[in-house]
Amino acid sequence: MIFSVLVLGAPYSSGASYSAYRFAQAALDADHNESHNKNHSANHNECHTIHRIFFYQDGIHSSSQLATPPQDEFNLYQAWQDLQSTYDLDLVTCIAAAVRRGVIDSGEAKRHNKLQHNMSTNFSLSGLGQLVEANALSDRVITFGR
Amino acid sequence: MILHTLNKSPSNEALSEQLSQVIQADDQVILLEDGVYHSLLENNDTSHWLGIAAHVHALNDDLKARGLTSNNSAIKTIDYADFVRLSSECDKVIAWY
Repeated sequence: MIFSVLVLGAPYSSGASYSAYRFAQAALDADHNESHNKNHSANHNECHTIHRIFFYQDGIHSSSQLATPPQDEFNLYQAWQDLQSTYDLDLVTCIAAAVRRGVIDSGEAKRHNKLQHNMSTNFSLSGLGQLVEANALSDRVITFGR
Repeated sequence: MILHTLNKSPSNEALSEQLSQVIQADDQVILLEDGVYHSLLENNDTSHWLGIAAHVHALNDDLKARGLTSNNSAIKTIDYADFVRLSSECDKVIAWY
């Protein structure tokens, strides 16, 4: 089954980003377990893929590279980046939502004459069309609201 | 069969009311985040979603994070793997937030 995930809340303001992370991890783990353990495939006879994870509204804050939680706390920002590199996920941050909130990549920094940029390179900036496309191409879109 | 996810506590009455208006008898509900506070309620009212839904589930990690155990025997505790499974078993997933 093809999933896409929509994240609408920021870390620390809402549980949306963490819940979405746990859901994505479980969906990909189920897939992983299945291909490695055919004996248990009776209950989980489906392979799951995640087509895209779209970060919209306050959800865009998950893509900040500069957020630095205390070292003895779970680092959700790092966890998203690790999940992306492990599974080569398409993590898309809404450009309009991100730029207005001050999360920008090097390209946007250049365009808007800013000296700094702070978006993780594990995420890509794109438009709402990517959310529409994910809706069209996925079996389920799971929304994690604020 | 629709899977409804609810992440707000019973104090958000408008949200519960909206869900109660559209939910069907064969639908299922997953309580997550502050939504797990609903599992403290006993509500068999046939006009409330708790009394209408075929199955109501609560995410165990979110219960534990709030120091809760479900008082409601009709609500089953689940993990994220169950959440994924239920999402694929139901025809649609609707988020209430």
